[in-house]
Amino acid sequence: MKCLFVSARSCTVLLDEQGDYYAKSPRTLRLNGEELQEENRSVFSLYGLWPDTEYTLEAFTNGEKEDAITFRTEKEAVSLNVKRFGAKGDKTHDDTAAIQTAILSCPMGGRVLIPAGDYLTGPLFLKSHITVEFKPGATLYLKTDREQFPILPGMTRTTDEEGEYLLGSWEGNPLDSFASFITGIGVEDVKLIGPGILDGQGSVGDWWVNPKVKRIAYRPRMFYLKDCKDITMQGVTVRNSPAWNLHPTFSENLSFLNVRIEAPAVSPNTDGFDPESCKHVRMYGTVFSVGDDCIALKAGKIYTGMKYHTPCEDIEIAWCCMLDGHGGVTVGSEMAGGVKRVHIHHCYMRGNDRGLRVKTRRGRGKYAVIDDIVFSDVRMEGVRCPMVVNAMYFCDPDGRTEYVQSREPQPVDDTTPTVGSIRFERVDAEGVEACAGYILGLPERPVQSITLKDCRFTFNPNGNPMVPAMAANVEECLNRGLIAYYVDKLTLENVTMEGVQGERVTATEVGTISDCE
Amino acid sequence: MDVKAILREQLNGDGLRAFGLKGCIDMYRATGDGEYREAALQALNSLLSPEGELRHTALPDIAFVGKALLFGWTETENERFKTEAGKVRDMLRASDLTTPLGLYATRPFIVEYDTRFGDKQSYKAVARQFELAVHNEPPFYLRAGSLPEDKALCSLERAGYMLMALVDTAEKMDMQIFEHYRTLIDLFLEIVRELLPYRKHSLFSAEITNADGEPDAAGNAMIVNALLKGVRLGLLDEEKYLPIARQMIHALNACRGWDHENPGLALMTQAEIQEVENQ
Repeated sequence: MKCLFVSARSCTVLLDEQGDYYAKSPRTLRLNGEELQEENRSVFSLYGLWPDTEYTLEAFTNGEKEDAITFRTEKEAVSLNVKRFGAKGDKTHDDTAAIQTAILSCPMGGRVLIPAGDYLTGPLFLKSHITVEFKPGATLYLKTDREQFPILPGMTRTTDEEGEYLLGSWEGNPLDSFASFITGIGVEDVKLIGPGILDGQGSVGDWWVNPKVKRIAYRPRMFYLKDCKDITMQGVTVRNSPAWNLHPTFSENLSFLNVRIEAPAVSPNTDGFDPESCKHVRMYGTVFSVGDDCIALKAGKIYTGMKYHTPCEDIEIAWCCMLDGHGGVTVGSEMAGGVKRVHIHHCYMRGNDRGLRVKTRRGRGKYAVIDDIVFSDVRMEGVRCPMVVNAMYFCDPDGRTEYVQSREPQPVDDTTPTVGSIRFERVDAEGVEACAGYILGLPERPVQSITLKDCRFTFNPNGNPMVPAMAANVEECLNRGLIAYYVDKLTLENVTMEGVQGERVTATEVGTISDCE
Repeated sequence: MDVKAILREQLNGDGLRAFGLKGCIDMYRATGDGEYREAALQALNSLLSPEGELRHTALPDIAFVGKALLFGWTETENERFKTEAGKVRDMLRASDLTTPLGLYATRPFIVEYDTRFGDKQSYKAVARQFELAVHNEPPFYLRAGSLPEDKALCSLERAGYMLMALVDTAEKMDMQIFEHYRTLIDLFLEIVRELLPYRKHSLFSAEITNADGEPDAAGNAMIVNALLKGVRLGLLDEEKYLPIARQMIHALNACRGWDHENPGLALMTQAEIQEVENQ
């Protein structure tokens, strides 16, 4: 066992490093000698602790003590109950001002307490060095009338007109967006502790109607950060977002622990977690069931990518559960600043269209470098295509033009993106339908390296064909192996494909292929 | 400025063309007054044959007609207007008008049409054309035949057309193709900042003056137009540029007769003044 995070009132513990979302076997827990729930997750959190107190947590299997850790909770300066600030929690009264006042009044090291109740609120803004705790039974409901929402302007010129100040963001561009449910601008050292619920009421309002059209401003997210650091979200349930759920941008040292993210399968663009140009991000023990990609690592479109070239890097996603959703972990398509050093491990994916999905295209720019992406110890069930790398993704107005889709080598210049190394290790995928993997590089700049090691792919005999990659001239396939175009080095080591139809590897213009069964 | 009188003068005279047509549409959008709408639609219909096809109209006026056709289609849902607008768009595909007037006449329509009908591939080329036009040597705003070092010999007409071209085109661009939108608004600000030092008192003076040596009112009106629209669209700091624009309007109003000599421009300018007041 290992303590991953401690606040004044909660902790997050790693129970089973070798499990995926679920531990290999359940444990019975005792806290300071008192028996708690049986725990079957690899990463779990405890709430309702007392500040500045020592705790001993013990784990038992079949009555035998297996492990124990000791930790001390942090000190807490003061606790401010939002009801004392006038919040009613009756889902009728507008509690925005009361909750915001409590946040702004909270001193360094203090806690804003949101007790059980149903709170109707507009967008809220964070402040540095505080904790906001959503107690069990606390549900915050986002108002639905967009006319009442404040707007974050996309771009404002500096007073000397020499520079710019970016605030709002929409799909990788600095555009006017409604303030999100919870926003942090330039804040640091903030903890958002659950297990309460944030409900965006996406289906109640008209956010999901004509979702791509800007109506006054672009849709709010559930959680938006800009230029923040040392932020932790633990145990909160986020559901029914108007648009993307968690969207931190240009921020660092972020932790998302035991978060739960839910949106109906038909909800538009409700990506679960979209870190954009962030670094040192960890996400553990989080559950996703959303209407778009579960996780999408981003780094801006052309303008922000070329101007700021701030990659999304040093990202760790572990012991998470990705259910449904278009992609388990997607990289791009807005990645003009680059995405690097991403490790997804010990995760469980079920029912996604694609497990790992890399999307890029000509024109993304020279800073659009995707490199060192590792999937290890990942279990997939019913993921139709475990790996797709697509360097001809047909997005944007010119996405289907010859420039983007040509299979002839184009000149390598400042607009050419790069895909470096991608590795799958100890990935077990059952119920594959389309193909084990589809790799489409660029003839003028092939994908540098694709490695599959100690992987097992089992195909669904009753599966349906699927177009694995959204690019021109990609046909439907069913139960195919690894299909690769324009790759420098393709390595398969101890990879089994049970039920594959045709060749294990179909390669076109691939430099070196090594396939050791 | 009595814009209704200006309008009636136009209607009773040569009719609405190019700037007049645009000015009428702008006034309708700014005021909601149906008289402007009807005048614009009547003018539009007079440009169509009984079979509903566009009578011959030369460049660059045809592009203003194209914009008016899009307006007519929006207002009446008459598919003929949309069809003829498409023909204008096709006519302009081979056009390489890159003078300030040419850009002003054609690019806002091209971008508006392409944006409305889902084809935004032209944005890249349009942005590049503006970049080349603005950064060309000698500077675009020099009066024809001037030497490059005679920077003070500013053609307000050229400057005005270029500013209006940039702001009108940016207005119609989908901002989600942000890099090209940003190119246009950066060029717009660049020109505004470059021109401001040449302002004497309330108006720009220029080598192109009338026989009495007074400032070129039309050129100044174009610049006011662009400044007001830039403020309205959030491209220019309101605190800094609205007072400048207001001073210029005040000074323009002292230039007797400029509005009757430039009726279309007068309508357009009054529309922008009204839009700012509406905000």
